Amino acid sequence: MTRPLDSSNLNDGQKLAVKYFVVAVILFFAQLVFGMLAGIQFVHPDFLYGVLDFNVNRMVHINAMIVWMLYGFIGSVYWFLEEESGREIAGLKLGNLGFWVLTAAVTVVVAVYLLVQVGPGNDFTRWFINEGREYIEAPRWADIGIVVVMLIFFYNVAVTFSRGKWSGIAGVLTLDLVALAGLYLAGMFYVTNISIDQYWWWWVIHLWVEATWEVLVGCIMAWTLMHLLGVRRKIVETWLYIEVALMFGSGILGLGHHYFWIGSPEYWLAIGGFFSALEPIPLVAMVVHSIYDSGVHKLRNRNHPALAWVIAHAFGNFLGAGVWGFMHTLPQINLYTHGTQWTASHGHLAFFGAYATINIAFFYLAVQRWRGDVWMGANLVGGWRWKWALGLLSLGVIGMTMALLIAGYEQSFIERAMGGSTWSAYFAGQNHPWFVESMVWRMIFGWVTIAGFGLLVWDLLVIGKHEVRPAETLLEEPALVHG
Amino acid sequence: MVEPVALEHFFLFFFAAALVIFAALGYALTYSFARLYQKRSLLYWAGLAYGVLTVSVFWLAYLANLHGFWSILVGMLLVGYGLAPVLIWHLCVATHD
Amino acid sequence: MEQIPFWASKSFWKKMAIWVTAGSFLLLIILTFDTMSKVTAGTKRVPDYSVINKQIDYRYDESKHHSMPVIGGDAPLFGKILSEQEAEQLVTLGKKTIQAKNCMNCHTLLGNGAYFAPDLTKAWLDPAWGPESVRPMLMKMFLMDPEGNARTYGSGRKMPNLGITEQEAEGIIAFLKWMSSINTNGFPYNFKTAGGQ
Repeated sequence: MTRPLDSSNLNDGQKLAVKYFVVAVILFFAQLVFGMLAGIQFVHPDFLYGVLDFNVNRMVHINAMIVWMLYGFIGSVYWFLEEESGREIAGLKLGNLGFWVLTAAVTVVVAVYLLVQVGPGNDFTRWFINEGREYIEAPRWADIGIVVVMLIFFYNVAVTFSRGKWSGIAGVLTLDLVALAGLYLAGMFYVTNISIDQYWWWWVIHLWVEATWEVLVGCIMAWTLMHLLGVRRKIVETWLYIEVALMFGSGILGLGHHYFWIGSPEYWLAIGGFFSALEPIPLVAMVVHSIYDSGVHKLRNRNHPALAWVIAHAFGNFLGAGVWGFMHTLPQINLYTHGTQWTASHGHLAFFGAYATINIAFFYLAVQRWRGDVWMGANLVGGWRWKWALGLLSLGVIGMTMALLIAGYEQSFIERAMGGSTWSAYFAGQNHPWFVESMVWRMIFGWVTIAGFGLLVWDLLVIGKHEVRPAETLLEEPALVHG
Repeated sequence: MVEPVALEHFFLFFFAAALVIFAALGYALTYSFARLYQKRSLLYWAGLAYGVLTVSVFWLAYLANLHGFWSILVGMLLVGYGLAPVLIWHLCVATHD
Repeated sequence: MEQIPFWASKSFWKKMAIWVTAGSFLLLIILTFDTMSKVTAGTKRVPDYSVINKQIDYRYDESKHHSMPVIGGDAPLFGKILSEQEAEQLVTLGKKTIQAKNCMNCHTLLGNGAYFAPDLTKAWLDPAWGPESVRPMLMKMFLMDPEGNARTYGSGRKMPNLGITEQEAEGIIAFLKWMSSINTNGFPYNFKTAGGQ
């Protein structure tokens, strides 16, 4: 007897969410493939030279990452929208239209990236081929499309909640989406002055990734914890507010650590240094809170793979953002590490730990419901698959991070500190055996990551198929007896 | 305004910075487990972890030339990382009642 | 049950979240106005575009513990003194070309971008491009045919041909020269220029 993936188990918002999740997984794969191509070019520079050059592969690599994560977030919100508001989704047709418009736009943008790649140095190129600014390369027409789709999404969230229950999660989410869409506008104009260009560019990049995304994930996590562990709403919402205070309190002015070397005044050295030194505090808070929670719940939960990925999130976020971030954030050391493989090392672990893990956890929650609230607890049939997928993906990313860390250390030492950052110093750093070998190791761990991804997709497709047991029901959590 | 890390302190700096965060983690872990299981002995370990944190913060300050104006940062690290776990624990208990 | 202290209550933290966010954002906006006034072209930190008519160097400043851009006498680029407007036009063409050719996904500018090729912040001053008398010419030849004039330093990495025209190449060089005059608080550190040795 098998349990099929049955869409009659889903509400309309969830059916829409599933579409987003499917595209998210496809783009996740694109991220890995183009990351591999770019990684191979470090080892074999002639590979695909003149066909798909490094800049193209690297652009698709990072764009696919940003977009798959956004698809995952949007899907997660649509997933819980009807349950959380107690109402039917306000504009289902509009939501579907938004999905297809966004997906068509992403397809066209990527096709142009791959087939046209570059254009002449004029405004047409920036509007229709490539904007040429890291992470927000999407041409201007696509920017406008993205804003429109985000507004549709915002409409659905705000109106559905306002017609139904307006919870604490709803309030934070709605305001966060306003900020998310608004900040994107900061990246949508041309300016010749590169200091001003970079100043606003960081508004989009940093205030998305280190502020509004964090809070968006906070909302998704808040809902998840109620459903995964049975945490009471009042507690979850109080902590969502605490998190917003801590994240925005350290994150908004933490923006300063990107303003050290782009021409901005010297006071940013102090602001950036101080606020980024405080950025690990929310992470320490998270550790304390998880231990408290483990005492309350004894980690009783209804979806083991999802909880395991949430735990991976806690570790990954702590190491990637906390430790790796702090090691090179003070201006006294960042002067050497800025713009080296250090950043790549930090970026790989931090994005994986903070965002990839949460999206994957949510995919597992979705699949569980899709199969009709199937058992995903102990002794799950075929349970080895999710464990190995988790293990291989984590090992792959940590391996890449370590390889890039060694390369980054070597680069900042040989090229920056000793060589003085000239072109010959740059290449002396790149040709150093530590660097060359690190790039080989990075590639090996890239393959491990891809293997983990393959297993993850297989698992998401079949997990729970041969389970007959229904999911565990959760009791509302008790308070800690002492304390 | 900023005196960069000296070449000979390069490796040690990364080591000290990582140690600061790991010591902060160790302190947060031991402190909260001490509270959770109400074990006094674990509090001594928390004190020890905080000691390591203090030493590593001063070491970091030496390596990164955090003097003058930047010594405020040293104070902030010691106070912030020291108080955060205590305050968060109390907040956990109070919000879950 | 219902005796949660105020500092642990939902309403307290809701207000805190709002005030902390609003306060931080307000501070950011004030700082943004100040920064904008200090990084506009034609200020002490970010010179006019016509700085490309001048000699530019980057020298160690003892009191600041890092190097600072130093603007010297006339040194016209491509043998012609440009007006502020002409200079801005040329630098603009360069900036648009740098975006159109997606330079930032191999190189870094002001340290931001990808790490497959050298940083361009002070590329104009790099000793690799020889004395100023031949520098613009060498750079132009390279940009228009990077494969034929490849400088791989034994790494095997070559810049691909991106179809850069002569005009675009001049724009890029003007942009690089202007960018090298920006006060970047000492980034990149310990950089030894062609002229400063």
